[in-house]
Amino acid sequence: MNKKITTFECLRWALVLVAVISLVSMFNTNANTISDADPEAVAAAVMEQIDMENMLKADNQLVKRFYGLDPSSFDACILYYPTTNMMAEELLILKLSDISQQEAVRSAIEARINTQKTTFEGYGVEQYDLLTNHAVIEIRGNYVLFVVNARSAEAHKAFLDAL
Amino acid sequence: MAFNDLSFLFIFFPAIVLLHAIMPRPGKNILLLLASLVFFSWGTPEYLFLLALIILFNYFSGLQMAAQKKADNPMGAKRTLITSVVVNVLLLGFFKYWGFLLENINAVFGASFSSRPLPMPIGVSFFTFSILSYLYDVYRDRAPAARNLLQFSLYVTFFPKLVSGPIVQYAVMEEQLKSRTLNRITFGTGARLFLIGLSKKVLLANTLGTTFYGVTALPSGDISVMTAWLGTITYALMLYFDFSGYSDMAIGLAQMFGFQFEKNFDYPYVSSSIAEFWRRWHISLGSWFRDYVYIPLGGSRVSTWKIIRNLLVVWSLTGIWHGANWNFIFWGLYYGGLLILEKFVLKNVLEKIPGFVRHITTLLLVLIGWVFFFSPSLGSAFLWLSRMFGMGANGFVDGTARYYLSGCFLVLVISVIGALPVCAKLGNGLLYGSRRSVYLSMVWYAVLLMLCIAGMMVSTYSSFLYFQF
Repeated sequence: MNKKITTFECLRWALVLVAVISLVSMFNTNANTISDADPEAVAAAVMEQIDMENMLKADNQLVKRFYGLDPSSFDACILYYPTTNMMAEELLILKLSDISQQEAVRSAIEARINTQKTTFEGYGVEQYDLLTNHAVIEIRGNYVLFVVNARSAEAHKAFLDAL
Repeated sequence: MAFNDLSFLFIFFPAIVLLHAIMPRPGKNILLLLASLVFFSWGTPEYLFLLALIILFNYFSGLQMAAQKKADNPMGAKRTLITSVVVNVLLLGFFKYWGFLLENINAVFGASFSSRPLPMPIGVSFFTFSILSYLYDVYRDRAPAARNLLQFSLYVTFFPKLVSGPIVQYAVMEEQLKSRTLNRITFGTGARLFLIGLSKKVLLANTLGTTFYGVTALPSGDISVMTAWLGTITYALMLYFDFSGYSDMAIGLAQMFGFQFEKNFDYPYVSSSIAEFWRRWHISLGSWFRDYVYIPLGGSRVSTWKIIRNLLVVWSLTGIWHGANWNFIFWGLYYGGLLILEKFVLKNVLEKIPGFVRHITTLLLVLIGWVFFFSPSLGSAFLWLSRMFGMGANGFVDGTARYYLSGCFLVLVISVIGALPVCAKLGNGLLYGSRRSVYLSMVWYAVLLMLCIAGMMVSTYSSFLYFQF
């Protein structure tokens, strides 16, 4: 009986050790790591890379209208949209309150891209090109970037650096 | 993946039901375990390995305690219990409270520790509590140590209860894991409960959410007394229909696989005291704290001061279980304080008060409690409360309040009626009163299903509120 108990004891602590090692390795490598970065600072870093002259900051109602997402369910939600609906540029930065929101947010953004593509298809060649070749969706842990801009690659890099 | 996800409803769930139906009896548990692991991995696949380690650790802990008891070594069993509980609580604390702890250390000591907390594994609060109840029950001989690793793994991960409970004790599930009855009646009853839960979530909670989120997005200076009350009332109903809807779906799903779980909600808003409210709201969590914290601390069979201490401990823990935020701790202590007042100070007074007044007072106190629950900080909670009671409000009623009220009036009336037991009584009488009503109930549930699908397709995905805990 004592041998059995000792075996269980050894197995239990071996499992704890493996769990600790696996957690430490995840802590260092996980791409889904939660970032404590200030959303405004992240947005500022991204906006430095793109021309914001013809962009307006949107209110919560517009986030709902564009994406069908509820801004109050996120820790932070920053959306910039163009001053005229003849432009396709867009910038959305979300700080998720829970990473289980990732999937829903990705679907909402993809739906938005499809809607915009349908809008511009046929007559807005430049806008359609932006939406097809210069739209970036990056979901990294609790942060989401969606940018449609000619300099979306630079904005993307700034976003990752800011997290 | 959540129960109100179209991919769950139309792919995952039908596939599992079909496979479960055709699978020979010995394979049913294997199928459900695999389905549960897929369900878990859908949200946080990186934790699948850790989940396996947690299951194995607690499986061996149970076996070790059983062996120590058999060897007449109670101290050894106690040590195993304590170390196992500490490991599980540390793991839960690491995922849930690490950031909060560092934040407060930084605030108090002016330090600047930074943290990069990992995302929470889905259902960690719920499956940890299930495991803790198992360990304690094995130690107290209230449940046998699990010998079958497959059954124990399924107990921990069973997908209907994995994400948001109900928290089921091992002793309740043990026999059902070995053998359970599944026939057309249990399947049908489960499906009906699932559909009722889905309707609560999609048709009521989500619709109420539109008003609540609209109202709370308003600048605090623009809020009238009525707008603030409307926000609080819609939240109270939304949370109830969201979480009780989820619980109905979980219990219904489990029933469709032959498992019988107790109800998790019992019309809490008809309570005439705070104690009664907590016997009706999130029943499995309340029972858990009663059985595994309150009673082991001495329960009510100790001196008055110790009862007060026990209540405060239980309610602080209940608060912090809901989240690493001072709001939740305050909310828990608020209920602890109310229960102490009810039990020791106002007991005689309350007995003399007419029932109607007790109901209204309880409801009012519960509504105030929800303000701490939904507010992002303690400061904003008090600000919202001040608006509810006229301080700094933009008048008693304004155009915004009328606009939001007119927009949600119908769903508000339906929700209030739906939160009362009379609704279920009338519905059951109408739908199951006679042989002819079978057709009526078929039409009714078909319509509900259609409305739910339509609701899910026209709106974007809306997560369950209790997933965050």
